[in-house]
Amino acid sequence: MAARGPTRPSLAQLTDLATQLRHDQDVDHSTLRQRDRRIGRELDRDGITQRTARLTGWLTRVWPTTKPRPGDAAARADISVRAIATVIGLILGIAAAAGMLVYDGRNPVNVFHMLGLFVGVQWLLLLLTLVAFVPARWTAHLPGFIPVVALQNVVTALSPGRLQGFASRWFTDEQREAWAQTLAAGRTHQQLFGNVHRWLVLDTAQSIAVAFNLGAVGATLLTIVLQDVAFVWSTTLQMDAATFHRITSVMSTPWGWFWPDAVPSLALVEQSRFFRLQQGGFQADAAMLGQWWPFVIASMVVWGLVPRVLMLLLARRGRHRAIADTFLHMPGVTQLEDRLNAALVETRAVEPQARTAQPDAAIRSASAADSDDNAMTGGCVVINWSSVPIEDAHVPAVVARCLGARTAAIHPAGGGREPADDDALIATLAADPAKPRVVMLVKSWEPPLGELLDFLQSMREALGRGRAITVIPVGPTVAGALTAPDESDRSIWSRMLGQIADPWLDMADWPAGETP
Amino acid sequence: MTEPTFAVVGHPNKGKSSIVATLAQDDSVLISDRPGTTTEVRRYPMRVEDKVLYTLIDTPGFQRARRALAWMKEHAPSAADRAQAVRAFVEAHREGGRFPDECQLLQPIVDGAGILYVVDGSCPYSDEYEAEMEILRWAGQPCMALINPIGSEEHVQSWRTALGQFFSVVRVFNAMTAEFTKRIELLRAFGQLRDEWRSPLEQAVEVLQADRARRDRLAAGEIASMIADMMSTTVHTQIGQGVDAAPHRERLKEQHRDKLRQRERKGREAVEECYDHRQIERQEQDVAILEEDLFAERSFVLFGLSRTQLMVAGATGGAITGLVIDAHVGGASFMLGSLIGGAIGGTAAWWSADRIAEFKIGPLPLGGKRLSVGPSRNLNLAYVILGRALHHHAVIAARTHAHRGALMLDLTPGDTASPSGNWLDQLPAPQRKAVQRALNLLIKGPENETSLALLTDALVPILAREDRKADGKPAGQS
Repeated sequence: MAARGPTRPSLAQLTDLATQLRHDQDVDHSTLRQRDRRIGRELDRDGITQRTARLTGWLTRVWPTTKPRPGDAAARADISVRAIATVIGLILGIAAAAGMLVYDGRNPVNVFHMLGLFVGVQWLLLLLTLVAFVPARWTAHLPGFIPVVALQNVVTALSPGRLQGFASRWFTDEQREAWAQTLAAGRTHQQLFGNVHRWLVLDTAQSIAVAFNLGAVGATLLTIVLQDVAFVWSTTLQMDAATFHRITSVMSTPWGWFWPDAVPSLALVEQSRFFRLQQGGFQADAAMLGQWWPFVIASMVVWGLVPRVLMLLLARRGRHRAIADTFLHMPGVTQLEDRLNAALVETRAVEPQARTAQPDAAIRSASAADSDDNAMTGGCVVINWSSVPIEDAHVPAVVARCLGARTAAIHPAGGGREPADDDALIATLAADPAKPRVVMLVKSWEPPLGELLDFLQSMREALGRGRAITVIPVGPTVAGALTAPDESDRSIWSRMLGQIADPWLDMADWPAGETP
Repeated sequence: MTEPTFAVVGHPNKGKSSIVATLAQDDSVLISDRPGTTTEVRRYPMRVEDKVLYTLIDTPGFQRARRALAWMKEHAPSAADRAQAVRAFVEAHREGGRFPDECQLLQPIVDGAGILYVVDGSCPYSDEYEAEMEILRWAGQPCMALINPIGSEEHVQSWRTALGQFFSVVRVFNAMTAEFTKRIELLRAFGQLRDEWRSPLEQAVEVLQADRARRDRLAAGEIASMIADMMSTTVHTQIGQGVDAAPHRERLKEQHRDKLRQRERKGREAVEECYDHRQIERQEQDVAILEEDLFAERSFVLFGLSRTQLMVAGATGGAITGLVIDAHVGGASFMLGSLIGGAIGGTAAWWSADRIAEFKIGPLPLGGKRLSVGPSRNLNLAYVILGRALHHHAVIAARTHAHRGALMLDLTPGDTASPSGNWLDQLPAPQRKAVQRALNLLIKGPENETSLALLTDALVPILAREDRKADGKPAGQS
C-alpha cells in the first residue's frame, strides 16, 4: 500500500506537479484518462480522500522512481538560498553591531544610534514588509488610487530576498535548473505563481532579517562581555532627560516587570546625556554609563529580533499557504482531478480499425463510337437490374442516347427476383447465337453489391471472351424523368466495376444535359 | 453474451458506421462514401470503469442477401427451423469464403445480439432490400429499424411504411445531426427491445448524462481559464534609456495580439477535446466568423457589446459590489454604495470600450525602460472572447462524431442577433447577470481563483442549454 501523502504540499511537490502537468500536455488525452483514473481508484482503495493528499499520491505513482525529481533539486536549492541568506544576514548584523560599538575610550556609544538602527530602521522595514503581506484577495477590492499593489511590487523588488538570484550562482546545475523551472512558471502565470515567488522572497528576507538581528544581538553581547562599553545619549532635538526617560520607560514596558535592571533610571538618563562640544568636560561615572547595556540588549531583542521572528513565522505560514493554494489551483489541476475522480466512461472501440486498400482502377468508358456491328444491326439485350424505375417503353431511348445502339430485348434481373431466375437469364444470353451486346441499367444511388459483381462474372464465364457488356448507371427519378447520376455515385460505380478487370466490360456515361 | 449487444446491419453505404460513430462518440471510425469500407465486425463496448453496460457492433453490409436467403430456405423445412437455418448458414460458410460479409454480420446476431437495421431515408425503397430484411426476421432476435436520412428526408415516409411490415420499432435517426438528447432517446429505445435490457440501458443513460454534465463543466472551466489567461496576458521588452519607445509600440501590441490569438486557438482545442473531438479539420478556405481575426471589427460588431450595454454591464458589476458594501454596513449607507459602485463600474466600462490593452513605459532600477502591453482591462474584449467561445462550443457540442467535414464556424449577423441585437441578451436574465458579475470580477483579478470559479459556475448552465435546445428537455433529465 502506498504511503498517504502529506496534507500540506512542499515546494518540491509544487515543482514536481508543475513539471508533470507540463509533460502531460504532450501525452494523448485518452492515455492520460486511463492512467489517472487507475491511480484515482488506487487512491480510493487506500482511503485517500483529501485533495492535496490525492494529488501528492498521484505524483508518487506517476513519477518513475528511477528518475530524479526536479522538486528535490528545487528543495535543495531553496535550503541553499536560505542558508546563504542566513549567513549573509549574520555577517551583516555582526558587522553593523561591531561598527556601532566601536569605542576607543573617547567617544562613547550613542544609544540613539543603537536604537535608531536596531529598532527604528527595523520597524520602518517591518512596516514596508507588512504592506507586502497584504493578500491579493484584499488588494483586488481596494480602490485603484491606493497604490498597495505598486508598493508591494517595489518592496518585493527591493527586498533582500531577491538575493536568491545572486545566491543561485553557487547552485549545482541540477539545482539551478529546478529553481529556474519553478520561477519560470511564475513568469507564465504571474499572479498564481507570482504569489509563491513573493512569499519565497519574503521568507528569505525575514530569514536575513532574523539572522541580522541575531548577529547584532550576539555581537553586542560579546562586545559587552569582552570590553567595557560606555553608552550615552546624544541628539540635536530639543529633548530633556525627563522626556527621554519617559520614552525609554515606555519602550521597557514588555520586560520591565521581570527585568527591572533593563529599565533605565532617571538618574542614568540625566547623567548620560552627551554633547560632543563638551567632550573634554564630560564628567560621568564610566561604570554607570555601562548600565545602559541591559536596556540596549532588551530593545534589540524585543523591538528588533522578536518582531522579525514573528514576521518569519508569518512569512513561513504565508509561504506554505501560497504553495498549498497554488498547488490546488495550478493550471491543469482541475482537469487532473477530473481524470482522477470521475468514473471512466468509454464508448470507443478498443481495437484500432484496419484500413483496407481499395484499388482506384476505373472502368473503361463506353460511348456511341464504341458500338460494334452487332449492336448497330441486331440490337442490344438490356437487363434492368434491381428494378430501375423506368418503363420498358423508355429503355430504347436511353440506350440509344448513351450508346447509339438499338434495343432488341429487355429482361429484369436482381432486386426481388430469385437467384435461379438470374442464372436462367445468363444461360439464355449465352445460348443466343446472335451474341448481342449486353447492356445493364443499374441504379447509381445504390452501391454495386457483391451479388451484382458475381452476376457479371458468371455472365462473362457463360458468354465467353470478346462479348461486350456495358453498364449504364442512371440517376434518381425527378419529376417522372430519369436523371444523370451524381458524380460521386458514378465514380463509385466506375471504381467498383474496375476491380473486376474485365477488358470487355465498360460503363456508359449519361449524355451531358440529356434526359430521356 | 450477458450485456445488451446490438449489431448494426444493413445495405452497404447506408450510414451504419456513421450511426456507430455518433452513438460511440468515436471519430476514429472509418467512414467513407466508398461502399465496403467496413470489412470486419468491430465492437464498441460502453464501459464504466470495468463494467460493460452495452455493446454496439459495426458490421459489413449485406452483399449477397438473395443467395444467402435461398440457401437458408433450402435448409428450413418449416418456420420453426428458420433461426436454426440462419445459424447453420453461418457455420457452413464461415470458412468457405463464398459469403464472407453475411457470415461476419450474422455471427453476432446468432450469438444473441439485437438487430439495428439501417436504411437511407433519402433513397427510395425497393424490393432488393427484402431478402436481407427476411434474413433478419428469420434470425429471431429483437430488432429495430433506423431510417438514416443521408442528405434529405424525401423517402422517409415510404420507408416507414415498408419497414413497419418487418420491424415492430421504426425510428428516424440522422447520424450527422443527432444531438445528445436524441442519442439518449435512441439508447432508451434500445432498452425497450427486451425486458432484461431495460435496466442496464437505463443505467447507461444515467451514466452518459452524468458524463455529459462533467464534460460541460470541464469545457466551462477551459473557457473561463482561456478568458482569464487572455485578459492577463502581458508582453514586455526593455530598451535603453535614451531610445525612443514609439517604434516599439506597434510591434509590442501585435505581439500581444498574437499571444491572444494563440491562446484562443489552444482554448478551442481544449474544448473540442472535452467532447472527444480530436480529429477536426479546420476550415481554411473561407474566412468564417470565428476564423476571422479575434480583433477584426466584425468580431466586435457581432460579439461585443455596445457602449450602452457595456455601461449597463459594468454598472451591474459595480452595483453588485456596491450592494455588498451596503450589506456590510447594515444598509446605513442608504444604498449609496450600490449607486456609487454602479457609477464607477459603468464609467470604467465606457472608457475602456475601444482599447484592447494599455501600452506602458516604466523605468528599470539600473537604467533603461521597460515597455509592456497588457494585461487588458477592456471589458468589451472579454465579452467578445466569451461570445466567440460560446459560439464555438455550440458548434462543437452539436457536432456528431460521424461528421468528417471541416468545422463550419461561419456565421451571419442574424444568427446571434436577438431583437435587441446581442448574444448576451439571448441569455435568461439570471444567467446574464451571473456572467456580467463574473466578468467584472475577472477583469479586476484575472487569475483570482474566486473569479475563475464564479465564471465557470456562470458558464455551466449556458453550455448545458445547448443540449436542451433541440426538444425543450433539460440536459441530464429524461
